[in-house]
Amino acid sequence: MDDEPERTKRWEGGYERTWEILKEDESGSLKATIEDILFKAKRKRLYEHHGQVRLGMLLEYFVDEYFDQNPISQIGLIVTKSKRAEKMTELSGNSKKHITALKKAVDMNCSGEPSLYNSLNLAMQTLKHMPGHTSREVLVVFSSLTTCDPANIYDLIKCLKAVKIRVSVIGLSAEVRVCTVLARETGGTYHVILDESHYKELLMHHVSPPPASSTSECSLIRMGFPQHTIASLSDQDAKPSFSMAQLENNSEPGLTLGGYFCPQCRAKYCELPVECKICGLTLVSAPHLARSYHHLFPLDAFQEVPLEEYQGERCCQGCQGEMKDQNVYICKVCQNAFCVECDLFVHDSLHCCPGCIHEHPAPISV
Amino acid sequence: DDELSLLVIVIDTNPIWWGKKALGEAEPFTLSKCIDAAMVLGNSHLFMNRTNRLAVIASHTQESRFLYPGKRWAFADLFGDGGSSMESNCSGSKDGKYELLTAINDAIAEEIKDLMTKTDMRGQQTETLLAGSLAKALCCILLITESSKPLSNQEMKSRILVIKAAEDSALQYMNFMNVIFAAQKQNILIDACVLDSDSGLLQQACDITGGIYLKVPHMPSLLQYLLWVFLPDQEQRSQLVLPPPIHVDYRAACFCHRNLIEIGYVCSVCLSIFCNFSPICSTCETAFKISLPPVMKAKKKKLKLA
Repeated sequence: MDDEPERTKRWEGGYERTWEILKEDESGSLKATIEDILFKAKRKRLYEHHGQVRLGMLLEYFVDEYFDQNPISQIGLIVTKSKRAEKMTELSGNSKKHITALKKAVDMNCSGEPSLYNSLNLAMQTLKHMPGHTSREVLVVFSSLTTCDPANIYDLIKCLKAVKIRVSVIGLSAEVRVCTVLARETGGTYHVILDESHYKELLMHHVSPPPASSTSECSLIRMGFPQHTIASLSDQDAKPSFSMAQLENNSEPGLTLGGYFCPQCRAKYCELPVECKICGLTLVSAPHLARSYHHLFPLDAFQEVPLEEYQGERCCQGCQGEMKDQNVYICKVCQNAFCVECDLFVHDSLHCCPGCIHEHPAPISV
Repeated sequence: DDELSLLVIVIDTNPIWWGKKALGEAEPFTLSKCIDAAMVLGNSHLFMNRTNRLAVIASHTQESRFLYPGKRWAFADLFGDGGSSMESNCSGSKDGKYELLTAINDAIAEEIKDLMTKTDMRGQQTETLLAGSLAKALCCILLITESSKPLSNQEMKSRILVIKAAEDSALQYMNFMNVIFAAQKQNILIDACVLDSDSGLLQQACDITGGIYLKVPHMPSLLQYLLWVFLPDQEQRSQLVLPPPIHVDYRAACFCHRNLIEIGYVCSVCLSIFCNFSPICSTCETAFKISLPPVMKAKKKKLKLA
């Protein structure tokens, strides 16, 4: 069944000599190597400047980041224990529901064996009804080394492939062969974590949308862009009304004067994005779509050049500070040089090169 | 315990707009008067607290220039505690003013003169590079925040004030939105003080980041508005009566006519927005799958064999 050669395991490879990374220069000092290690550590520190986030809170952090980067997407949560799988939350775009459920789940007791088959089956039941233009993904956080399945899981893998669902796995303990096959066949990724920060890195990798396959359907989605009306108390015609979100949870404040009115059926909502319960129209605001634009026009990595070789002015074009680090980073398009902090900021948060937007104020592809 | 507050002023120095303004009236509101007002605001901000910081950027059509601090500044320069290269360069205060303020005002005046007189107008560029200046402002804020972390446990609160003169550039929409989202993520406020025509982009920026948007009713009184509305920092604003939030139009503009629409069609591949259904997306040229109603098969009448 496996046509691809598997990678050799670590114990099958040659003997590694890790002390060779330390090199002495002519005078016998290790200074250059130490500086190099320090520089890499600084870059790593900047990269994870969020600080210590505890393991349990990482999933809540993931949900927040996911909806921040993909405001019109939806998440559903499934748990598996005692050879069964059950839905913790339904597929929805409301982050508060998921976070509340995750907080409650901390008190849940773990028992029995997990069932990979049942959880994937449950996920497939929901995802296969989604429209063709969506990217359907399942992310499994798997810590066990066994799974208890009622039927042949390889058949299920074939079904998942047919419905174009991508399954990725994050293993918490050790590599499990069935997960390797699962990820490979469906086009997902499988990683086993080394430590907490590696876990965070792997989770954050799944916040970005995967590239769409050429076989996925493309369609025009009808969406509404409601205006936010703020009626004031002095306005004679202002009538307070309930929002449709009240139907679901009673914790929202009751009557409000302003809100978003669906352009098709005039139902009121307090927050966007939301799917109108009455007429089914997806309601968003223009910035929600704009937030996903940077996934479509990703910024290329900058070229790393050692400071000694760099001929230009020792001034970072982003922050105007003096360049003191080991390397400078040069944008291949506009040839401007940036320091390491600006480079990380530009690629993680800003998604556009400050030099390029001066040379070409309008995006090139538009 | 002192709180660190950083104010970055971005001044729109579009030479075409300011040139037209100077020709217009008898007593025109010139760029010098605008820079004077900004300098007073900057000085007042530094007076509010010993640990406050300031940066000033001029947004031009050809480039964004840091008026203060100058190039290759080191963090020590911002303290003005003597021994910094900036103070040793300036000629000393002539009117008994605090030396740091004199140094800052002189540096700003020098740079702006250099920018406006020596910059060549190349190409067809007539629009202010505001998105670029804001991007550089964000990088600068990040650097100052990182540098001041080892010195104090207080979190640095930063805000950007944009003094806008010329009209919006619709082409910069995407870069502008990237800047706004990056600022929101870093908890940086963007305030806007608009001199002439309303700016939809800045209205969105203020709404998303939590800043104040103000269109100045009377331009010569600019300083009064700056000191009243934009001098207080985030904490003090809740206790003051300031201009109310404005109604922001978040409707999308369709890519075909640039009209604002309430219901539209969004391409699932490139997220372009259209007002009418069409079988092909004009931006990414994908052909869409149109779901037709199921075709009813005509019932075959069985011929009865006689």
